[in-house]
Amino acid sequence: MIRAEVLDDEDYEILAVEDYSLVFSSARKPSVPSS
Amino acid sequence: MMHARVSQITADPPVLAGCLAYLEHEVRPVVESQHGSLGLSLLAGQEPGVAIVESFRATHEHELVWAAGETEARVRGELARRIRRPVTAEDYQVPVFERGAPLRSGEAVRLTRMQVKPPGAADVDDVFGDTAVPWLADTPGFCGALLFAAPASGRLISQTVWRDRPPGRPARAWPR
Repeated sequence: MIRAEVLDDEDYEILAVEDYSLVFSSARKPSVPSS
Repeated sequence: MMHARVSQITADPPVLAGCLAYLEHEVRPVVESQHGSLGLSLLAGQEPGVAIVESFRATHEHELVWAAGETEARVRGELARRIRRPVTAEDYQVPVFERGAPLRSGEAVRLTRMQVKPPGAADVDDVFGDTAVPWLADTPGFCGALLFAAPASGRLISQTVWRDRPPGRPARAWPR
């Protein structure tokens, strides 16, 4: 999708595509706006 | 804006397994209790011997405090001791954070590393957040998407999480 919309420009390059398995994630969005 | 510190660890699989256990059981509780922490993610490579650690902070100021702190140095030192080489980290803004479902261990994660000429980083942010993520969110199995951006250098990493496997990937490549 990104390639189709943007990466037809020579300014953009995909360097690598890597696949992983999630061990765990506790990542969450900030609960209040932050700078 | 949310920030993240991303480190890649490469080691022989038995050594890496010890690193993953150390991160999950000893580092995770410490990191998550830090002021400004927004959690930790740990990814194990489909190819053996590679892992990614992502530590999230609410602001750049929280990131700077963490990066300069004793805990960060101790964790990095312990990992370096185990893998017998330095562990480097890259700092990113996180302009896109989309969660379609709670994440579970074993889910498939795809990282796409990109390089843009720095003025173009904001364009990718917009396209990823406004166009790609809504499209991905309608794809069966979608669990979440992130975009890590380092505008000054033009480095970007898109990260998508899938219940089974990313679209288009042969099923046999994703043992569960």
